Amino acid sequence: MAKVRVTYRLTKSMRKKIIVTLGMIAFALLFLIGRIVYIQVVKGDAYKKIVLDQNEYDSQTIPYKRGDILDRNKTILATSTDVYNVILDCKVLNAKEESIQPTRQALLDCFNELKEEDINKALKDTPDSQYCVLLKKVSYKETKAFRDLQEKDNSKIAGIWFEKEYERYYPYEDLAAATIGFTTSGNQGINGLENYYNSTLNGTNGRKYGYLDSDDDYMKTTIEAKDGKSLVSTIDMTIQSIVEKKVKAFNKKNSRKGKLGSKHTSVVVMDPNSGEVLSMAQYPSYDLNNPRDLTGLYSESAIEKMSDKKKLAALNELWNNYAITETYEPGSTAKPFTVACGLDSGKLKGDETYYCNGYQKVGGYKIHCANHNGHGLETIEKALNNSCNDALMQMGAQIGKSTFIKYQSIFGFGKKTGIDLTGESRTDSLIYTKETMDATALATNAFGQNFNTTMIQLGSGFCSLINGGNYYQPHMVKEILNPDGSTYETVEPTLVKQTISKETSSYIRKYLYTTVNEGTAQSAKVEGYTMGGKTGTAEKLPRGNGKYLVSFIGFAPAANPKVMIYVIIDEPNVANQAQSSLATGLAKEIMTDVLPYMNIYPDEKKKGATPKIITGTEDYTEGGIFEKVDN
Amino acid sequence: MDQAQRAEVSSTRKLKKKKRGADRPVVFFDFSLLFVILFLLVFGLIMIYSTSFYLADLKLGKPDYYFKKQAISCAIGLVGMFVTANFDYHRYDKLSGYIYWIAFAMCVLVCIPGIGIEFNGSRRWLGYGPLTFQPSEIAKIACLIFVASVVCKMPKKINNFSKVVRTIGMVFPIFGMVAYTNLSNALIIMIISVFIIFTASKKYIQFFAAAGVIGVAGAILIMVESYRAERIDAWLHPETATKGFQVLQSLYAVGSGGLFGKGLGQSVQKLGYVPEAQNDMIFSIICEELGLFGAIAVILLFVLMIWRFVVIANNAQDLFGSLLVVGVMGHIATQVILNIAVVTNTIPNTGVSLPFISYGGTSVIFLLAEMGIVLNVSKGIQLEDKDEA
Repeated sequence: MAKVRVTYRLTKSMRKKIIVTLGMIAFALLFLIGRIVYIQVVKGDAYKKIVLDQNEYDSQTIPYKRGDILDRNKTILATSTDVYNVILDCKVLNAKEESIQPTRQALLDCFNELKEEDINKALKDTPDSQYCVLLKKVSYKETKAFRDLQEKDNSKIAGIWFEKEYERYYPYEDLAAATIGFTTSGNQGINGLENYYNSTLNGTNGRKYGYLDSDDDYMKTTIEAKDGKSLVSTIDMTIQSIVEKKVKAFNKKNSRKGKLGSKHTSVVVMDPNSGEVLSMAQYPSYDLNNPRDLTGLYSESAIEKMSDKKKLAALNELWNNYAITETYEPGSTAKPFTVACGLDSGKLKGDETYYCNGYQKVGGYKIHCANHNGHGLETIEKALNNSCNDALMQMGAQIGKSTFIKYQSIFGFGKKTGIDLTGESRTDSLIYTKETMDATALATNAFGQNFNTTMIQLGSGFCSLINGGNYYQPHMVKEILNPDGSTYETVEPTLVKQTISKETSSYIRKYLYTTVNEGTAQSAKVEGYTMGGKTGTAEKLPRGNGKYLVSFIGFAPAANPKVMIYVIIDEPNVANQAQSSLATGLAKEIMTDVLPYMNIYPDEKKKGATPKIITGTEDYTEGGIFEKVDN
Repeated sequence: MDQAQRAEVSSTRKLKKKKRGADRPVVFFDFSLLFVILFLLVFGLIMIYSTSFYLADLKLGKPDYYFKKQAISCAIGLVGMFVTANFDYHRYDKLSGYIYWIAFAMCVLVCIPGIGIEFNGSRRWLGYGPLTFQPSEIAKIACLIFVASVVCKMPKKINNFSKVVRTIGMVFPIFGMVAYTNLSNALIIMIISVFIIFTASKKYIQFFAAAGVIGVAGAILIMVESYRAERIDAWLHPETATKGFQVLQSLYAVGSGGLFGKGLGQSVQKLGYVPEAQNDMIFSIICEELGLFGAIAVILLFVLMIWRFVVIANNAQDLFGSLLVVGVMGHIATQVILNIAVVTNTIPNTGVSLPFISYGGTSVIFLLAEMGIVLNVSKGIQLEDKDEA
């Protein structure tokens, strides 16, 4: 029978059976859907919680360490220190009755801030919690004592572990505060280098996992955290502290009537041959470890009265890095630029003479020189020495607006320098263009009024005037280090452009040298050193209010500049603000300490004790620079 | 949709027939089934990637390790499906004896230390180098063909209980060999065989009674064997049993999904809590990521697939074709039910994979081969007879 092929077909009963099996299958699947619904509805919420709980406990995050910020000699300016949260695993401890007492005692012995009732409360109220934070941000030292107890042979301590965290710490508190910046929780840099290099400084978190392998064995894997990279800043901590000490002293001296010694004081010290910023200081400053503290500026009652909005505005004002965010009219410190522009473009031959009668009428104003009686006949050099507005206005006219504007752009006015700090201001709308510049603008621009700049802009441009015409991009970071301390990246000075010829630069150095030696900037001179420099006294808007911004920009040694200093005192708290000698005095004090520190030797030949003839200062009398006249 | 599609297919066929004026029979091909197969395959690949990339990256440094391996298996399986879909199923009838004994030989080989490859503590694989396969998967398809062939040679006598016992006895050698290495697959082999016989037979009560007896016997057997007893303990008390971790974590995954789930790729439980989540427990991650909605959708896809099997079985050219399809249906249905039952802790952990979706190369290749057989049977359906369906 088997050999004969017979074709059978499905009988009716078989079809019925197939349908019956289909029914059974459908029933089984329906039942299983019911099971899923049951699990979700009845246990869903509890399971959701458990999933979250065990995730927190079993896969622990290992925090990375944010990179340090170091000064150029690798002194730590900002660092992250490890702190520990004390975590109580109530479930574990409750399961071991005999451990409760010794564990509680050890906790109380090691951590003074802890209260017995807190522990009892946690154990009683949340008996199943595996993650109960008892204390936050305990130092390693304190946890060490506890760990030692725990490791003793007969120790019955259970259910306690420490969760590591990092806290940002600034050992020098307010030193270079606005330049370094600070961080908020979650390692987010807020200002300065902390913000600009945020992603470089940050690393990636590691994790500790537990999982079951195929044999149901509990396995633990750890992915180590990747620490962030460190920055070696161009800042020299010693120079920075000298500067800040002097700035503070100045402001302390001039602080009266409950007002600060000045609205702002800011100093930038740079290496003119590389664009490296050695110091960037400002007053008022703030403690980076406590950046939201306004008590240095306001009385406590005043702070209490402030709205949140006002408080934030005050904080932002405080946090701002003056040297890169504040725009202002530079005043006479811009005069060397005008002269350099004239000489380099050939519009000035160098042998011109100008007659100064003490003022010139421009656009409804009588613009005064510091000497109201006039400087008389002057060469270009003398005009700079005397900081003569009259002569500079005549030079401006001679140069013409197109050349003047071209050179302003070459010197970097109106453009961001691109310094590696957050918050540099745009100044492109704060200078004149070919279309907008008229004779009045040209005349006032020539001696540094009527256009705005930032300190870093003018300082960087000035470096190129004195170093042979090389414009280096100003920068704050020299080197980026790997977490192990090896070099990740070295930042070489970037030569951006040639602003003026070497020859012009040497003329400017000479003129500025004589300005310090026998001109208006004599009070900036450090005994024994050859120095060059230029004072500035800018009358602030609105004119005639007696509000001034006095400044000094200088360098040493005169023939081969090694260091450039730019000092600004914005609205000094003195009766007559129009005294550039405030700035020169501060600059001198700083340079007196900085030059020896930098191993720059006194280079001036002793000429004997010839008495100095003081030819004049850039100190204006009550009338100011701009005197309104009716035309 | 199903009806409409078939109607459409038939109308175009009829048109062609008229044009050509040919008198050859109209050929049917079950595109709905093909669609469901392909959909499940692609969905399975997506879920395997979703469940495995994290730990694969962690442990092997290659997030797509499992995904790639499974994709290659799927490709091989699709080629196999194409071959079996075009291989006249009647020929299996003659070959069934050879297929059975080859599969049996393989199952014997795998038990011999040094030939069978051990992995994760179980010796279940044969092969060389990266090319390995589980003979127990082959045994399923071999038994399916063998039993269908045996039964359809004596469709009337199968109503006789002694014949039923004899047929089952014929399957016993291979069942025993598979049981030695992989009890759950042996169980499935037995269920497939009984399924085919049950369909062919007119009896009901005897089968249900036998099922009850076997169930009790199995329970006793399990109680005796400590390894399995542990699993039973885990089933009854997942919260406290030491071996209950996997089941409990699977329940957490199912329970925490909610109506629409946490979103594809968002599972927390796959991050090491549900062990080997891409394998047997993949359905729990589907519940967690796609929620109740996704779980029901997957179950409905399987229902649709089984429904197509029913249609094909009822309309097959001959009894052998019908019984082949019934066997495949039993295979798929059993695995789906057992797998989901384990995931929801309805039954103790048995280690049955979810067809087409769980990770496993041999499994998907032979499942697709079975699908090819079903598609080949579907080709034999004469559309003129379709009204009978």
